[in-house]
Amino acid sequence: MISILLSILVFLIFFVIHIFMGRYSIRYGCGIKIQSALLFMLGFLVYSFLCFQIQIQNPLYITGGALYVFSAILHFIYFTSPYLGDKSPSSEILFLLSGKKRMNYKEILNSFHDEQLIKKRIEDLHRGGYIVKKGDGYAATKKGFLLFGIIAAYKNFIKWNTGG
Amino acid sequence: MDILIFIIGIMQFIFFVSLQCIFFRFIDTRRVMKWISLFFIFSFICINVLYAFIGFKLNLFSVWIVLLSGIIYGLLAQIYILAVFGVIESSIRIRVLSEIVSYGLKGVSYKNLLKKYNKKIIIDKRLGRFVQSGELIYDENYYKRGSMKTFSYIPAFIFSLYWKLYRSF
Repeated sequence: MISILLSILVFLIFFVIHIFMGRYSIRYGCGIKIQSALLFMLGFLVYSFLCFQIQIQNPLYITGGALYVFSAILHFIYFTSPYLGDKSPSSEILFLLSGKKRMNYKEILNSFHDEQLIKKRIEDLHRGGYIVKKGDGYAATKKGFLLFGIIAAYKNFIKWNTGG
Repeated sequence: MDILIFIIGIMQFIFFVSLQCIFFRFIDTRRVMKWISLFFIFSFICINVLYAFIGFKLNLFSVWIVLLSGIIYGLLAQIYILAVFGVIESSIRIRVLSEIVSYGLKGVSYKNLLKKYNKKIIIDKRLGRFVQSGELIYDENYYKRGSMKTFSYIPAFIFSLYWKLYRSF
């Protein structure tokens, strides 16, 4: 059990450090880097070091390590939302209707804008090198075609036709 | 015990992904969250029943094994749903990329892209899914929150929590 508590404790410490780093860099405009999530690799080294240093009866090193690694990956996934600066429309709808508030379809639809939902994502894809500007529009790059191919293969495998 | 917890957690996850890959082609796409939740619980029960037949003895160790393997499974399933399945099911970026790719090398203008994919399509899909799962109620032309808290509520809640943690000053 001590190894489990140790992995939770180390994760929480590095989680708090990451939040402070993120808040500081966003507040002072230096922009948080996605690589900052690599901080959690250092956390794993700390966890491993502590496991070897402390003599534990019935150790659960693998379970503790797995909990740490999977929690860190999950943190990284959740962190990409504030990192990229876009809230998901699903969270936004739930937020709009929080409490006892009720809204009709038009009111909900008017709370969103194509610029916010589509344009920003196009800019991200452009920055990531998945698409290029072509005249007044956009075309996919090799990298974009490759990513699309991987996704299409997975969708075809599970026969899933919807998306977005 | 250590390796057993890990193996049971991984087995539950593999069983869950296999169920999803085999049976998702037959489900109503608007009820995706309901089916994911069902497969998630079913995989947890199936593998633990299998473990009960093979080596379960009612003691504290077995309780820890079920609990900790369940947590490992829960984390892995969430990673898979958010980073793999969630990306193809609801990522706007991927859908935008797919639309642009469908026009080939000649590309598409922003205006034409909006004709095929826009905020109406995005919001309609999400509202339909929420109403089907019971998280939203559509009554007399109005949407309001339902009493149902499904699994989809958890990631939505955590995402808003992360926004508060990182971006609220």
